[in-house]
Amino acid sequence: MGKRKIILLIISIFLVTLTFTFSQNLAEFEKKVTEFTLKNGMKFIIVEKHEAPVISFITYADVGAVNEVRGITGIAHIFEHMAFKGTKTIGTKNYEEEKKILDKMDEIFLQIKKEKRKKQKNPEKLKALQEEFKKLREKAKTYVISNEFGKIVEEQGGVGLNAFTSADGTAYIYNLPSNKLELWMSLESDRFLNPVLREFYKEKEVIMEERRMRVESQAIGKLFEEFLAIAYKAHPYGDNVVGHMSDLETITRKEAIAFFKKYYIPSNLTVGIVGDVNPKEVKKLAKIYFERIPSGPKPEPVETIEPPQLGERRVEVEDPSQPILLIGYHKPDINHPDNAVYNVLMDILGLGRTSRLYKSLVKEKKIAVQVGAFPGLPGNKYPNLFVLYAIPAVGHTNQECEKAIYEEIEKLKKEKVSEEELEKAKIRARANLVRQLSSNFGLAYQMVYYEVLTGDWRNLFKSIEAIKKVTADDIMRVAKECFKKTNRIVGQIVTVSSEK
Amino acid sequence: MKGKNCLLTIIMILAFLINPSTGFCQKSPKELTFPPLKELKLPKIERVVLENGMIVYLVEDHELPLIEISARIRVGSKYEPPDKIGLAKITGRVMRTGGTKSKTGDEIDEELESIAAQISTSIGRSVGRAYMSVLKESFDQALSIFADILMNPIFSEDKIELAKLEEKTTISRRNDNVMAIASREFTKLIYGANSPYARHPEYETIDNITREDIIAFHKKYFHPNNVILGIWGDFKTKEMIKKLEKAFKNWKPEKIDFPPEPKVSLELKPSVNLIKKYDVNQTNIRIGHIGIRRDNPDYFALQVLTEILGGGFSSRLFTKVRSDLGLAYSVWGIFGANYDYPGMFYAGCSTKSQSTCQAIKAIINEINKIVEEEVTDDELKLAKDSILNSFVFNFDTKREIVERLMTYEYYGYPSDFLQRYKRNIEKVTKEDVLRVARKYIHPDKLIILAVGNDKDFDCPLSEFGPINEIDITIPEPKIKKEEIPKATQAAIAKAKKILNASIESIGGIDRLKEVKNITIIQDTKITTPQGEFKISSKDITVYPDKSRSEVKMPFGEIIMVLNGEKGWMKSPQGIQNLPESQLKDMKKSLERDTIYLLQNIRKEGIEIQTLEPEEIKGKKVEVILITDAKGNSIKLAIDSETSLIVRKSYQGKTMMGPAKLEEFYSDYREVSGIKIPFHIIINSNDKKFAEVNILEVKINSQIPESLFERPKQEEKNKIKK
Repeated sequence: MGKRKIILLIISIFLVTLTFTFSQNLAEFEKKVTEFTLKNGMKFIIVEKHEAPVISFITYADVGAVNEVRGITGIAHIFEHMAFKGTKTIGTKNYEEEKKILDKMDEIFLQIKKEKRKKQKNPEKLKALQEEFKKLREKAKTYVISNEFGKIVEEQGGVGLNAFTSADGTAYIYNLPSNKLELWMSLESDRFLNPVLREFYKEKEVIMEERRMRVESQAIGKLFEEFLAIAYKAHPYGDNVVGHMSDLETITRKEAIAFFKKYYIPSNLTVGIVGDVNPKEVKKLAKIYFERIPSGPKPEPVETIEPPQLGERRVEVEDPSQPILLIGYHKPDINHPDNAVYNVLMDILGLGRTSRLYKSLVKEKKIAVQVGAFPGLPGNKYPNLFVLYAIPAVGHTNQECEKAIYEEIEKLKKEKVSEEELEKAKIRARANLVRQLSSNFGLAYQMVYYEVLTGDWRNLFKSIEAIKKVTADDIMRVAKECFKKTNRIVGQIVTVSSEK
Repeated sequence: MKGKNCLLTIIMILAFLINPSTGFCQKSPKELTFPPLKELKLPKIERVVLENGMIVYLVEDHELPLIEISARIRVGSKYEPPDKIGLAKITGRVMRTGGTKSKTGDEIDEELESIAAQISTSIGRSVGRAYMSVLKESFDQALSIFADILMNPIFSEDKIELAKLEEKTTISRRNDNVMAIASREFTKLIYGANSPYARHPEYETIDNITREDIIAFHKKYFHPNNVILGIWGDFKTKEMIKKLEKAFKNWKPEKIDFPPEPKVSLELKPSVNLIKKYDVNQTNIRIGHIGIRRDNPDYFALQVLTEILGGGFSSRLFTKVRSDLGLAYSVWGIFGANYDYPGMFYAGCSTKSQSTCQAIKAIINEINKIVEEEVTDDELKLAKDSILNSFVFNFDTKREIVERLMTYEYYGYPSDFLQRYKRNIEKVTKEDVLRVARKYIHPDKLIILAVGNDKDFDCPLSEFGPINEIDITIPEPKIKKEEIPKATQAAIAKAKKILNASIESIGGIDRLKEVKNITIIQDTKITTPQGEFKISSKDITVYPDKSRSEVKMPFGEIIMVLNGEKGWMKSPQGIQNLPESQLKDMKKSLERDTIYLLQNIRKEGIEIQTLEPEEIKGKKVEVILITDAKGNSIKLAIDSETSLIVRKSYQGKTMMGPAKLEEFYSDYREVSGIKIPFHIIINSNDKKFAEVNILEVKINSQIPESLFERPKQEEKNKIKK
């Protein structure tokens, strides 16, 4: 007992000093931040960091897989890939001529689809169409300067050129030496003003390989897809970001262009720039380069609401792999007042070696080697899932782990968490934020993310204040509300022997 | 188009004269010119050697209230013995979790997490590492723990067990990810499966590791003169040096005898290798051979070559295999170079099963091209520009700068190696690229590996050469064979005497030989990780080669029958022949039966001897080792007073896998003149596994032969009745 009190004392002293430095930091930090919105509605957030002559850029489009409808699943991710294929002036030898071929290809692709659907098959006609399509593709290729967009970035010393699509949004990133600010302005504005979806049908094949790699050739990928599918029967969060294979096959270039036109309007784009920049210079150039993008109506948000579950939902993936257990509970979105409580719950239950799940399943019972919790699957914008997972130790089962996890969850409903645990969670939330601030990219991403999802990047810092206010009663209340059997989804990999 | 835009802007400016950004218009990337990059302000880096020989690099960074430490220790799994693979990794892990002389591992966890500090330790193939990250305010507290972990770890037994369990779990899961399989097996093909640069732990090598091994391994390598430490963050250098001196002052230098460095064969042995994996629809492909060390003067030209062949978006492989052919999402080609041993040249991708051969051909084609003809001027310029223009990113964090200097010092490279790298890249010509390609890349000596479902490949893999199929089945743990002292004449004679006495007290050899069959009805309580459960069973044994077990389970009855060389089982799912492995287990089980054992004890090929006497529950017991012609052995512990068998030990199997099993016998009762134990406790690997209560025993009752014959068709039997 003596020891615990001392630790508690150390914590409270520490907490006072840390809170002080933090509010000081936030005020200090705000001085480095400049934000502005262009006339067309495009928002920029700039953080000056002059330690090294480099800049990190992120363009966050407020559109993700959640904006897709059945039949075109995967289209947000397809567009992300296409945004590397160039513009009317980049990646082409002659756009006017190229365009004619691309349009013709779209036509033939539709005819092929139609032919395939016919009840009276005409294999010869189909073959002829496919031959024609192939010829057109070869012709189109003669106009393409392959990967020119990427080449320009790399040649100029750009690093980390990439993009990723999530359920909530799509982010485009890279870093440049700080004398090349205008290069980014030029490339990125052109990218979203004049994108040309060239090599569309080949790139879909690349995406199918990505799907095979991430989902179909590994058990954990399969499990997450099945898990989300049973968690949502109405809301589009239930569809995997990469899309279903048949949709990837049938989606047309026209559909991708329509998706782009609807969602990539300037007011749906937010830019984060962190590094060795002069904000005035950034603003001047941003006006020149980005204000030329015409504004459009802000797309409607997803209005579908996932109805409450009528009972527990369970799914199994039979696979030669070793067992893995996922448990999910429906929880509210990031702007809900209880969001901070869920973050504390994650910390207490599933973060690090002193979390309750680690202590029980790994250290004491020795039935798992990895265990954890995280909120926000598959996104945070709409009500989502609080997830607990376990990787059973060799010779142990999902069932043992599931039982042990429920024991810990029941404790949270019956007994208040200790002040010590609560304080620990709060301190760690702060320390994690400080660590995030140390990376240019991490900072740019977090600020833009909070800006888009919560309406103000300052909420990244305020989330720490909200966590500070969480009480033991809050934890128990939320645990009782959320961790109910009827609100639960369980998914697991069940090991079966491989077919020979 | 660009021209038009620009003109439009100018017209607008001229017409209205209201646009403040006079003279500006959008420029395409090709029209842009850039101001020179600001001169790089390199941070001040201090290098000091502490009194005990520890080398320390320090860089102040006052941007955030954070301090970080990174340490390199000259140690590695390359120094562990081949029968204890995993020793280095477990040592590195348990250093952090197993506690120190002053604190348990769990106390350290609590303390660190309460101040949001992170400390980790690990040992890789050729380097040991320790890392710490802490908010400035709690630095002193965290540093004392960090130093304690490096200097005084005690490696508690329970955390060693945990680390072994984790390592075994990793082993059990190592074939769950195709990419991991491909990397692991390809590395073994390049360096040889037993090379310290490729080998990996097995259950057996993990089981071989003892706490003494771990303590000795740590003691041999963890000395301050064998440590390079880097520290960066919000501190004053002078004060920090004092703090470090103090924290490590009790750590004394010591001379270390390093084992010789492992040799790497540079001989090229081309091969085509296949790993069959039927649960995936994508093939993982690896193609390559041995590479070079980084101190090779041709390293720089090979870096430019890598950039052109398989670097980023602009590389040949990316353009061809991904963009043009649409065959893969991830594709690469790298001429690898390690600091301390030759790296690997390897290209690869993941592609659908049906395009496996097409992708292999496309990759080999690019490899051929790079040795056949010079790269173009554009390619050379793009590759060099890409390396040189991004050079500044080598300096964008303090951590990178410090870690790089530590790396150079650790491997004995000059501290300005990066600057030399830049100068040498600038010098590389097209001729250089072709020269090094021809010198180091051998398209006719490639090792090819494909992991995937070969049933769906677009051509037989044998098109590339004779196939070597690699079996990646994970070897079951071997149970350690006990050291058996060589049997002396005296030990053999004594064993005979003790066994004879035992046979007498059980009922005599004549009575034993008269036992033709035995029927036992029993209740068994089994302890499993999932909890306890009870089963009732009836076991019939007809000597010498038939047995039948009828087990009542909650979901129905299971019957398992051994009939000479054949066997079958019946469950609610139906009737089936026993698989080979189960048949073998049942035979073994019958051969371990006490009556069978004693009936056959005098047969040819059976060897007996005594071992050291032991004590069971305070009573002295004699221990007899019986080994049959096949080398299977069994130990019997015989009560010195009663001459009854009180324990039988052997290597067997439970549903958890192979195990050391011990059966403890008590409550002997006489049935038809034979003494039978009515209570049995079974331990598996020293833990209680089952408890058996025998309800009824019948000897030489009428056993119809039909009980052992496999029923043909259940329905037909019913009709007969």
